[in-house]
Amino acid sequence: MKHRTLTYLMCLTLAYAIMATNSMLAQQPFELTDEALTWPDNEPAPCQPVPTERQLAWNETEFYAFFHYGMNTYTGKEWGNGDEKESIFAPTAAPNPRQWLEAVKAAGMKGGIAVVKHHDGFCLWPTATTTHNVSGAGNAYGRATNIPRDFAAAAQALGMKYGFYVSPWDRNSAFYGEDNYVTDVFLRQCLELAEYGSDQFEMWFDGANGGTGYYGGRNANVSVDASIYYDIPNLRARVHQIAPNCVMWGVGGEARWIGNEQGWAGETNWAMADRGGSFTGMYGQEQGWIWLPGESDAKATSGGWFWHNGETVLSAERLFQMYLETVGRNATLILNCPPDKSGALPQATVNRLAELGKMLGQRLGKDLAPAAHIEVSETRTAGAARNYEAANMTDADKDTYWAANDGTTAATITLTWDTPQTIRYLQLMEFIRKGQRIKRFHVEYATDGSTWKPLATTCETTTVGYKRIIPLNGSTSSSYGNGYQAKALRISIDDSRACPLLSSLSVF
Amino acid sequence: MKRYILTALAATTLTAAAQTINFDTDDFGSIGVYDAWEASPFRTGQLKGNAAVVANPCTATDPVLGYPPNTSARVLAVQRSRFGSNTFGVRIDLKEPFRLTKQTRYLHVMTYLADKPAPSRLMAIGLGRRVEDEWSWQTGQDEQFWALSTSDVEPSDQWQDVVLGFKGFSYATDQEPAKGIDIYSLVLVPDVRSPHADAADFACYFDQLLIDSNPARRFSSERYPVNFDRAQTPTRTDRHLDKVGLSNSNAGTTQEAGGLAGLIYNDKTQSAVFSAKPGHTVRPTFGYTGVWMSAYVYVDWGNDGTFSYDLAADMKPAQGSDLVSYNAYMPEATWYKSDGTTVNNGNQIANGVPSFTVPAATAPGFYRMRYKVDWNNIDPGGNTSEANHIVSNGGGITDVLLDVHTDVVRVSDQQLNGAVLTADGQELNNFEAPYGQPFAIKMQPAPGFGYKGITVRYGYRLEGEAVVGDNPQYLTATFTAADFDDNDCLTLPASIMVGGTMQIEGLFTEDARKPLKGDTISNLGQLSNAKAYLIHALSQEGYLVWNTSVSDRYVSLRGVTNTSYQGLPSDARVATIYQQRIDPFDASTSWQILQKDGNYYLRNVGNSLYVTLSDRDYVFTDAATPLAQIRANAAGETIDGSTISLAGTFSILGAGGDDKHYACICTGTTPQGVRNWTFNDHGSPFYITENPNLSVTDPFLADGIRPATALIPHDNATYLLTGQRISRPVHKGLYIRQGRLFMKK
Repeated sequence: MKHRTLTYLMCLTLAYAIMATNSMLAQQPFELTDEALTWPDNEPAPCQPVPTERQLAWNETEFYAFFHYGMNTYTGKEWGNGDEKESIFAPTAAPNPRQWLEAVKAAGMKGGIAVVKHHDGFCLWPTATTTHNVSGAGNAYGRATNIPRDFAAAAQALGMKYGFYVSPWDRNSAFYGEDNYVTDVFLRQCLELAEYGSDQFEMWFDGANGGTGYYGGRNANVSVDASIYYDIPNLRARVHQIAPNCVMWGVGGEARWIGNEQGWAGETNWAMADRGGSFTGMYGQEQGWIWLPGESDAKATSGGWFWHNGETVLSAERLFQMYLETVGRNATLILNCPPDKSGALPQATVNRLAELGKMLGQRLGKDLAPAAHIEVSETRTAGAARNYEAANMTDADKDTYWAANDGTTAATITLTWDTPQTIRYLQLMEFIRKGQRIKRFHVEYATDGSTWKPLATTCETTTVGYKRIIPLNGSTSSSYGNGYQAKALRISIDDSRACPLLSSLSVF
Repeated sequence: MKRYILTALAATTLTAAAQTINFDTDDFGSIGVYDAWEASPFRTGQLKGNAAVVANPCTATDPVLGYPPNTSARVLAVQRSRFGSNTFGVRIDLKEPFRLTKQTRYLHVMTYLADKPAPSRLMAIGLGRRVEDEWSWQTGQDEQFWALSTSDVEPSDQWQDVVLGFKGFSYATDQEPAKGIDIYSLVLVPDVRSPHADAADFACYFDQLLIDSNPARRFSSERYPVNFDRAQTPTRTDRHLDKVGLSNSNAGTTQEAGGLAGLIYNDKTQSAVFSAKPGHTVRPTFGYTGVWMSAYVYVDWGNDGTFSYDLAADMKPAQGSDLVSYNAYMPEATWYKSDGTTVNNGNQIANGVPSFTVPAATAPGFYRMRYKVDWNNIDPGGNTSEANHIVSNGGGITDVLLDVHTDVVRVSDQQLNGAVLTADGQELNNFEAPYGQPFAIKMQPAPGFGYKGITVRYGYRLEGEAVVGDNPQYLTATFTAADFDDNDCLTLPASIMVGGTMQIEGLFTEDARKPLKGDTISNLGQLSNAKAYLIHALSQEGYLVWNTSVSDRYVSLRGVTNTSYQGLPSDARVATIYQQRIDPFDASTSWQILQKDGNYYLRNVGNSLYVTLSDRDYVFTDAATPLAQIRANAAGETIDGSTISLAGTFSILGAGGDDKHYACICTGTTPQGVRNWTFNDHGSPFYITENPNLSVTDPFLADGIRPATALIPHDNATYLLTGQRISRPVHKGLYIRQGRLFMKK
């Protein structure tokens, strides 16, 4: 009793002491302090906002696959209503995520995202959260299916990144729209999926916010306030406890939808946006308050997101165009390849993916820049342990970069070769760890090394970001062409938010 | 440590009642700094940050409010560090957490930001955790919401009130066990710009935090305030205000202003002027999409920055009230409109509003007039109740000017290097032009002078500021030389013959054909079908050219995106030409001057064209008869009596070193290629001469004459006078070789 009183009195005394101190100080005006950082390496100050470590790693995945497989493969629908019987799911062979991933790896993709629960609510793993899952499938192959387990294992064996699409909107669930859907169903599903691999790189949260559906027999039209219903801040914190590198896409708030499903991003494309406000997915916002890079989801087949009988695969040239207009425009590309009823990718898809991989290797494989002599109009003064020389752009080290001095927002970079090179593509990568800066640039070449002519005049050579690939003839649909004979190539950065930083420059 | 002790003293969690935090009393917990950037030096411990409760830096009376908005002795201050991110701010740990709700709640915060370098948005971040047992691993410092101000907060040496909305997915607050999200700390980010270019840190002050359900600001030193963000866009598509108007039966006029549907609030005072004389009875009109709304109209007769809205006992506007008309208001149980009669309900928007009379003693002038669509609310800023907020109801507010006028506008001119007269030659010295009627004027430059246009100011009190107290006193219109006809006459439109006085400034210049600094169009969107454009050559930027229906090339301003611009009509004219070499050119900025239908254009000729422009005479040739010529000056006037029938489109490239040598491209049905033409004073035919300044390649010329070859000094080809290339001269006569004329005998 006495002890507690003493403790209480000590607390009070301390509290009063704090308040008294506050009172004494409070009559003083506010004084600024001289607190400052020093930069022994003369590093440029970050141009805010900047990406998180997780977002940086995610951006490096660049090009990966989407696999829409599930109940809709067997009903032929794009959006199931949620009342499909589990027994309809009856693969004609054991679904083979390894085959999917091997095929897309041949296309040059570095990872994949498997749909494990679409809007119809059917889960492709034996979840504890609902009976609407593979345990009730129509045959042995179906009942033995566990896509997240097999997909994760295959990706790990192939050295590829992986993640899952789990639809927040659930037209089967009796709880969708209710207060406890997120805590009792959706979040638990996300956590079960996170357990399949702590090295997941992305979780895909489709933005659909409700509508009509079966809803456990309610057969109602349920709508939700998508901005708060999924309790994203806490869901994100919880998933990151298990899978710290998992970027939560879309509604998840760490990467944004590029704004269309045709496989293109704006030529001007900022990785920043006013999350929570309004912005256009294709272009981002130069003044956006948070780093929110764009991902472009596109279909490699003609039928839809899920496999449909009679569908065809897009041509390699068209897929290459998508690549140029997404990966080549500061966005990542998630290209959908739907498995068919056998749970495998059709041979036509596999063939096309290999063709695309060959095309990428042929067109963007041989970098001519390292053999060139590079001159820049300005080089940032080196620091104690770091320099900012032009050679940093061709040293294949993503952590080194060329930089100009503070206050310089325009610069030129000139590459010269002893003999004329046939050039078709220019690729630039900013050191985005310090923010996205370049606003405008233009490109010229000289066959004889001194008579300059412009290139890519029909392109909007504005932003760069993580990666910008310019087809030098200005066309993404027929970019290969004859190329240009160049003894010299000149890139002029015309304007930048702060001193420009380029970690990589390649010429193909 | 500190926080733990204080929470031991704390009471239970507050429910969703209003909550205040001010710094005169110790109803806050601890303070510190916070940065959402994960690699921030304020997170790694490299920097400590500077935040404290200090003396209020500003207790002065706000000159617009008329009272001091913040008389606290103590306020919160933070040093906004340039080493933090754009989400760095001061963190206030609350004495008692509050529960987020699904309904939007609002954080009101007073802020004093005199030292902020630029306008920028503010943000509030809420730090907290879920309250359920399975979330006990959370520390209470997870970011739960990010409330960004919708518009910039300006640096100001007065306190401002900012409102930031937020919400979260919480359940019923009386549920057991408790479920929901509690907020333990608030972070106030004073500046969401990137600090990378800031040379110094600056002090930011906050005070009087209030969390409640009211989205309106507690005070605003804005004149004519609205109770929502001025940048607010509509939140529904079934209801919106489209246009407003004024019907004046005395004057027999109906005036309208439209294009309102994109914003809840439209300030049209720079463009919409409605007219009435003292004593006129006028009826405001509304063009509104939707039903179950009402209409209210105000005029700030006192010009004091607010709309008063007193009603008399009979529900008509009180004497001197700025509320002049409304069609539905029910303070208790009966719906009234402003003529004192009753209506059945508030669904009156389609029925219009009663007329009102402009008081006979009203002094002539511009008065601010406000149209409002709202529900049962006479506050000129709009209904702010949660159930019937003007924004969620699809209302709208539009401000225009009401010009209370006399019968005349007194027009004067400036008389510098020339005079502006009436069309029939009378002086403009307080000339009484009829109000609201088109008015014809004529330019009379002094000898040796030309003119490039006029600037017209019209309204009231032209000798003062253009805007006083947020109200335009006068408006400005400009016209260029191209708007005048060949007799130097122009009819000013009726729409600018308003106000009480007009001042016309003639922009007279020495020899209008000399280079003049003209308008620079900085983006293609500014090109107007109604204006002519100056070709303005700055060193690297500013070549203005445009697409025509003939040419397929496009406008490009150097340094701006090369995009096609379609649709400029063929009667767009060039007002004057610069005597300045447009240099250097690249493929998209090589131009030649075209003439079509009596007007001048520029046309892209492709790569590597160096064009020398002259302010002197230009020569045109007709594609069909290349030997005919016309000599004209830059203003398009024919001189020397030579004429030509213009059967095709042709163009000149520019002059050489003197006024006798020109390069032309003939286009049209028989492409003739580029030639150099010389004209002498006696009207002799043209012949090709060499101009070393020109080298041309034009991918758009059809096969036939290769233009460049005609001009290359060492070209050994032979050409007819028509420019046609031949293998060798056969007949006697004049031929061209190596850019020079020779005679075959």
